[in-house]
Amino acid sequence: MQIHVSPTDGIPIYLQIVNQIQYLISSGRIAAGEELPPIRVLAEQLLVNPNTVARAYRELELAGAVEKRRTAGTYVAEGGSRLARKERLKILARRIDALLAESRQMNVPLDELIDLLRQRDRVMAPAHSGD
Amino acid sequence: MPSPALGLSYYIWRRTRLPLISAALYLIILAAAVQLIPAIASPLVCVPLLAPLAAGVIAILGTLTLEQVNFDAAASVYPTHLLIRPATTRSLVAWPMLYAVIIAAGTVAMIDRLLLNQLHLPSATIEQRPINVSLPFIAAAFISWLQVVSWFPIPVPFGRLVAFTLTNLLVFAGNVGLYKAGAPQSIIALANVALVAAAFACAVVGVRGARRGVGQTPLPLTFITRLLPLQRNRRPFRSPAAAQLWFECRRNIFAPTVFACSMALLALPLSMLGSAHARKTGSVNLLTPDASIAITAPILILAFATAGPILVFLSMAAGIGKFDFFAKETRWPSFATIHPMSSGDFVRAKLKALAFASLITAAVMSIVVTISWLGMIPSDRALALAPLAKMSPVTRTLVLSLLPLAAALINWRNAAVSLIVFLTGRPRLITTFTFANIAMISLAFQAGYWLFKHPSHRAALESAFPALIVIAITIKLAVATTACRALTHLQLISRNAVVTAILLWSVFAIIAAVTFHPFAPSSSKLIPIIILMLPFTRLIATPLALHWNRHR
Amino acid sequence: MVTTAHHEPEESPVLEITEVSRRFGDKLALDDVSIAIPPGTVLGLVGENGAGKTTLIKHVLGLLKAQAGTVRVFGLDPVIEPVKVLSQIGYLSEEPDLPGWMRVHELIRYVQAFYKTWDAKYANELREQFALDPKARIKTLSKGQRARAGLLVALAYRPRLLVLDEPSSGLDPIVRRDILGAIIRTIADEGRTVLFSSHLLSEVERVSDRVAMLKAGRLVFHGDLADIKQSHRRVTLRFDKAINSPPPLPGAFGWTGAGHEWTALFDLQFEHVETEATRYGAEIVDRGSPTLDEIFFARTGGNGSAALASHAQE
Repeated sequence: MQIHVSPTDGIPIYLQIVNQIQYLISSGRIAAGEELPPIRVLAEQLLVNPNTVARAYRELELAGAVEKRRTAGTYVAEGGSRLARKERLKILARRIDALLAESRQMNVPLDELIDLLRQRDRVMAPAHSGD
Repeated sequence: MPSPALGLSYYIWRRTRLPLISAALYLIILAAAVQLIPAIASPLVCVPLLAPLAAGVIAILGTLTLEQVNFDAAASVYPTHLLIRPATTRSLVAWPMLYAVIIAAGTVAMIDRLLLNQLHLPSATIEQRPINVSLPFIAAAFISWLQVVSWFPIPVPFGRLVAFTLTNLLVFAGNVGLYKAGAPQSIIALANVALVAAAFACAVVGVRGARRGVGQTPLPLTFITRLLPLQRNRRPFRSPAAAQLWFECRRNIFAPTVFACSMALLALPLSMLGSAHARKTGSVNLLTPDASIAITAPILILAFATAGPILVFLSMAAGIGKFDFFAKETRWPSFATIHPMSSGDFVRAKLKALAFASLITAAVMSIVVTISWLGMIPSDRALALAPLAKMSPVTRTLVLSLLPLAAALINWRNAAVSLIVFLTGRPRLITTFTFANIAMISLAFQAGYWLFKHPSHRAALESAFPALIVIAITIKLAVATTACRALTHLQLISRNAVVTAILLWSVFAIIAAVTFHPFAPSSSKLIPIIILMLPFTRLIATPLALHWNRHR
Repeated sequence: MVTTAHHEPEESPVLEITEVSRRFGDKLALDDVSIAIPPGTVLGLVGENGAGKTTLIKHVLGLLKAQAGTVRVFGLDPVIEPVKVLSQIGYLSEEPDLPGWMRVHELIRYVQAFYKTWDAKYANELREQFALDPKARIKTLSKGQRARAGLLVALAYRPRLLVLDEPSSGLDPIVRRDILGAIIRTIADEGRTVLFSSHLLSEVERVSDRVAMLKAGRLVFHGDLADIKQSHRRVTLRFDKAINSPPPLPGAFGWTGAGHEWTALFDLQFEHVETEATRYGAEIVDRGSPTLDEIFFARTGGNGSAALASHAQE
């Protein structure tokens, strides 16, 4: 499982893990029903405190993205694909918040921002046509 | 520092100032005393007083090599931080050598002029008076070659030790040879100057090599050890005590045992030569004919074969107080202090290892003495046995057979008793103790000689004897009780161990009393002294010292 | 001093240092320091050189006696009962003073005899993982290999408490990974605890549950890492007028900047920051979570202590 954490990010490490696992789930790189690595193994791989990984797994469990099966480990919840869309939108919403904050700071009105969005989409479109 | 001369002189001054100043002061005081108090001028009094001075001189010589000499290190001892200075190799060598030569020659000249010259030595001793002009030159040659041996990178294991022995032999044998050949003073002086010049040239070659990094990497001999199989798959140690005993034997007692035994073995060829010489020309009394005791060369060598190893062993006891004999610091490293082993167990391991070392040394000494004995001429043998002449043959045989055991016990006692100081790991305390010890021993000699010369005071002392003994016993008991209390409070030793120790000591006291009885008819005076001298507190309180070292 | 107790531990703490002070000559190395470590946690000890971290660690090992206060490890005094305490502690010092003359296999065989809980199989695994040549003499090993050897003999008996004093100083990233991995593997085992001091704050952030910071012998903060990070905010203020020195905003420390823009760290009284800022004619232009690095620098900068003294925070 390709996760990368950076302690100097400003975002707590457990949150980085939560976000990245959610991203992997929603983008389909981890299938529903697949097992997540045990806490100890992931902690050693990332070189972080196992309690941090445990906390991340707890958060994911609360969000319904994963479920803990007794003595068998942690698995991606079956309803993962349903939540995937919600998660995807949540991730995008966060990025949009950041974008909006910046544009406000730079005094760019909303309409101009939407135009810019469309313009960039057109520029990127040929790359996407292969999807 | 504007020039290497000043820089190096400052460096040497910083290193030697303490021993130099104290030695100089001691010398001046002693010289004044010799002039003012005629009683001190006799050699029997003055020579022991020279002991602290000798220690000081050795300390000075040790600093003149710029760093402590490590006999098993391959790299040059010349400090790296000086090697990288922008100075030519010639000046890096020349200045320290020049200062060393001046200091060594000057010190020896002063001691000779102020002290040795004033003493009234008998004319038939080994060193004749005329040689005194050459002594400083010999000292200069000695120190310059000591510097060469220290500064030359010698990648062969213990090669430096071999080089040290060889150069010393060269310097001293050369001088003795010249003297025997009847060479005049000026020639001897010139020869030594030539030795110094040769030393300079060699040192330059060595330091040049050190600057290029010679001796930093071990010799490719290590490939041999890689070919050896992994040492017969050793089983794990049975207990922590066994592991620590292995460590002590492997690392700490190796050097003292080897040196002490070498000292004894060195006496063997000398003794053979001496006996062969005596067989041809008859034995000659080395002391003046009117002396009350007769000492011939073979006897002297025999004494050397017994006293030498004991002294060597004693002098190396300091190293055994460290965790690692070859460590530079007396303070124990954290690797050792965090061992989950009580200080008492550590001490026990050291004492056991010392017992092995003493036994091996005593065995070698006995072999050497026996072989020397077999080679001696009958008159010398009678001389050697003179102290035992008054005993019955049975007692004599008993005493002779117990001598090896006695030697082992003495060796063990010497090292074990001083452990309590060396284990404290406080360098200043240790230095003070060492010098105080030397001073006390020489004072004891003075007091003994003075009493010998003044029978009236001797009688007064004898009458006060019982009171003194009672006081001494009280002090010894008080100290012992305090120590035992501290030991059990800190849980360093169990109560059973204390009881065992007391019982063992009592047994030894009885053995000592019985052993010395034949030697001293007036045993009522001697026996209590000997029993009081048997160490108890110094041995049993040793764990306290280590505890103090580990927990600061 | 900021101390946060996130959870009340039911089990007794593995390490309890109470009001310990220590003087070396005139220098006060530790000043009334109190720390407790519950079992199963990693405590990162940070501070400048000479702040007292090594001194504190030596007290834990019993190498130094507390001149004032008490030290209890597993409920025992490490000076009175060194055998019981030290047999359960694994220690890696900054410069492992292993005997240079010993070969690796001799070292393992020697140290093994002292610990009943030694796991020979695990020791062998570690030796292979660290690629230590059993026949090599320790003095011929590189600095990193020596650190690995020291780590091996500290880990092989699975100590209840692992104490590391600046374990990564001067070591390459691969050895640092090994050390961090060892810390994590230790803590992943039930009930085992780690105390380590480090200058590499990124490492401390990765693996610590709790962090304690020493400055000139005093404990500046001690608590859960998460709490410490959450209770600090980095705020950038833009002032109407250019100023030469920052205004005395309460709860602010570690000011940097010039002219119109000034940045500082604030602890806990963030709600008042906005009102205070407007009072001085400034507006907040940026805010974020500081890294432990930034908190460390701000706290050791000197102006931190004044801010701490101004409000009694507990």
